[in-house]
Amino acid sequence: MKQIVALLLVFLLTLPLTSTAQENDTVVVLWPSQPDSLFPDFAVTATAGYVIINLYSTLVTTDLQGNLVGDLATGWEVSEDQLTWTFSLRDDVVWHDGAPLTAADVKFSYEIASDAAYTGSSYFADIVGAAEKRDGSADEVTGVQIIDDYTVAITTTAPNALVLDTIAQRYILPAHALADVPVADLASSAQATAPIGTGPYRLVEWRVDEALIFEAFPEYHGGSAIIPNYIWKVVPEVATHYTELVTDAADISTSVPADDFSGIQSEPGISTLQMPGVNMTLVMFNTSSPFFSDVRTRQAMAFAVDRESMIAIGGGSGGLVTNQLHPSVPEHNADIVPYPYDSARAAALLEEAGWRDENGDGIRESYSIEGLEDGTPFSVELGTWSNPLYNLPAQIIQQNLKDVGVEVAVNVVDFNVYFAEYLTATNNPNFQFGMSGWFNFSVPTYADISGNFPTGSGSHARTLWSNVRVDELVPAIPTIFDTSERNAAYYEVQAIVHEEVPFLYLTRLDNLVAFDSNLALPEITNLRNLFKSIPQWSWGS
Amino acid sequence: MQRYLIRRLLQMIPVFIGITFITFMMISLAPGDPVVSLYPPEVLDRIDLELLRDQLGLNDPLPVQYVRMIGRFFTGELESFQERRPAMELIFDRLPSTLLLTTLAVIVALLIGLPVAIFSALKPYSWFDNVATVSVLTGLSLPQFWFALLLILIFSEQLRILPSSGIRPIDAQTYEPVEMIPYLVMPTIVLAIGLLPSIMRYSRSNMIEVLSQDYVRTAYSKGLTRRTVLIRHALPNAILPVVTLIGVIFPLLLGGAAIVETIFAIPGIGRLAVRAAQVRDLPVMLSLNIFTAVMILLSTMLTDLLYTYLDPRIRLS
Repeated sequence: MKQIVALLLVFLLTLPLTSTAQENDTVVVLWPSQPDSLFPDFAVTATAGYVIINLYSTLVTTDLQGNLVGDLATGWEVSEDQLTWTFSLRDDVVWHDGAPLTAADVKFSYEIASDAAYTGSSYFADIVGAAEKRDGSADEVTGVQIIDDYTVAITTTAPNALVLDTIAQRYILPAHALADVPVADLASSAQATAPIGTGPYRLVEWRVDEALIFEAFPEYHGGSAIIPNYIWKVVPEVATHYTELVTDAADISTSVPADDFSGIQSEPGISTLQMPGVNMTLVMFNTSSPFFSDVRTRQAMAFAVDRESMIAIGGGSGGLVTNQLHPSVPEHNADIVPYPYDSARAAALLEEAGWRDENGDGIRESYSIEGLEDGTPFSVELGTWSNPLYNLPAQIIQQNLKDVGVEVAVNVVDFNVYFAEYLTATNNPNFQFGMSGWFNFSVPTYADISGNFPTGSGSHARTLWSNVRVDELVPAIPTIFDTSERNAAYYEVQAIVHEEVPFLYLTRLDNLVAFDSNLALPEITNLRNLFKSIPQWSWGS
Repeated sequence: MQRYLIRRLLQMIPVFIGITFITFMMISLAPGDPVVSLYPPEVLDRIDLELLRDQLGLNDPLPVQYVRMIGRFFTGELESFQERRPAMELIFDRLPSTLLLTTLAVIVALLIGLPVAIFSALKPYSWFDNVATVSVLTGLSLPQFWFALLLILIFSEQLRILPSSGIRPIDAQTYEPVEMIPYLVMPTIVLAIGLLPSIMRYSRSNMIEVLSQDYVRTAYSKGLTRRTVLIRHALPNAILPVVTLIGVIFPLLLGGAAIVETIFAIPGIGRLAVRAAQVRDLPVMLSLNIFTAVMILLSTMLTDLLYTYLDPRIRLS
């Protein structure tokens, strides 16, 4: 027995030290999940987006300051009729397997998205010939023309000032590897797990649910990444991210829970960074419901809700949201002043709109409100889907509205049901208002707006709200070629929406980043750019 | 014996149909649209959902879908809705980690549980037995996620002797057992603690029962040493029910220890199951259920066979 104990002790002492001191040639990024696919067209999770950003290239891209710059394209010009965009490509771009990138790859990438069997995310309906290819009446998209190996021209059906923003979203795919794969099988092709790209890093090994190992691609056209190896470490339990960082098992995490964040700020050797989060919470009103058809009632809701306490329960770090866009983009209207938390004004507005509590039961009743019998209590259902981001704020709304005499029943459903009953329902009598959120950078900035306004244009437009000016401005935005004029249109839309409250924007919790103090990061304003900047990261002394 | 095996294997067919049918119907009849769960709400507008539904075969009548899925399962072509890779491939990718963790946990639980149970049984209600019983109850009442985080706090964050996540060093090229041991210590303990109570209580009560049997008294009266009586005569009979227990627990664990795998970032089947359920990935859920069911059926069959070896009185017919 004694021998066994002795042996065990010796064995324990020889256990390798656990903290693998990070060498200067590797950076380990912590994230709770692995990508669903590395094929850009079929990868749908935010996770995949943050990984793919360093594997592929686009013709043009936005730099960390938000300016459009060339990536695969060295330059571009637009024809006088504003329809044809001609891109000159770099001639030194190599795929991760060594093949050169040419205009054929560009044409291929734009063409598959118009194939009848294509189920990826589609951004390019307005290229000349795309519709014909989709319905089978043409074999190719005539609007994408190879002029020579390193020049390609894209023609749109109507002048569109946002073409470059859309093009900046389109990762170019390797035609030489994919041309023989039937379009319906692309999603399950090898490209999804062993991608060939042109980005600064290439995939060395995908260890399922464990890590993705990348190495800097030495022939990258933008200059090789500074840190030669980058590891995407999958650690689903965010409560252990703190431990991972302080034990040096990883170098950076954007998922340290808000509760742990003040603790990690005081850890030696760890630096932190906070920036407005990529996701926000919002309430959408069914403006055709008699309860919420009056703008004063919706404004009353905006005054009644205590958004600061929503931030407090979310960890204490965040900001109030006034519109659909991320504050780091130039289209965001920063002049809008958020509705303050003011129950008295909310009550006054409700009185004005005809909601009074005459029977003294604490709940207001309707008096001469169109569509409601006099005396109908203000008792409504708030739908939301099971997601901790939305469930606690929904309870705060319930309490806040009770304070101003509105009775709210919170109905938490599965996302599937929420989608069917709230987001896409046209005739759900129980839909009075719904609580959910919106992720920026999932789609181009314009789609953040056009996906929600004007009414009926997208799956989130179920507020059934209609405003003549907005309905006229939003479709016009892509036709305004002057940037400041176009931004003015964006600003006006946001201001009208804020005034009319079809959506009540709530809060945007900060993205909290904790990282090794020796790691030098460039100036970052949002999560997407943090990942985009990985090739520029470096190890200090 | 052969006839017995064939009969058992044939019995698996109706069980298989029942399991697949129930799984399929439960998921298919749930309200909402399965393709909607696959995408974040923001990008739904940009996907041709109708075409996708068509490509995934979701527009066909349910019986057609069911038969096709089962057919594809057998040809290995049943693909995950989300990852578009064969579902069994996703499972087999993660099987080694789960198998390793589960086997270790069962072994550790047996190594601790059996000796403690025997000592407890020899002197029931002694201080040793009482301490063991209380410890076991404590272990049973510990929520796994809490206990796991507590271990991480102590051994990873404070003492810094064990790594908190993963199954091997992040820069390891292969699976070196020596390198993996520190990573497996805590997950194994957490899983084993969950298994200990049943193993110990079963063995203890059986041992007490066996020790009062006539043949044990006979063995003592023949002048055999206590040790010989215990190990040669009493133990084999006492652990029979434990064999059954392991035969049922083991395959269940293979279906994934979701909580332990999640907290310690072990790339196992449990995490796959959780994710598949979140996005309603029907082919993966179906394959996982079939996999677990087959494991349980096989394992109970093996247990029965093992019985004939451990207890010659039992004959299979």
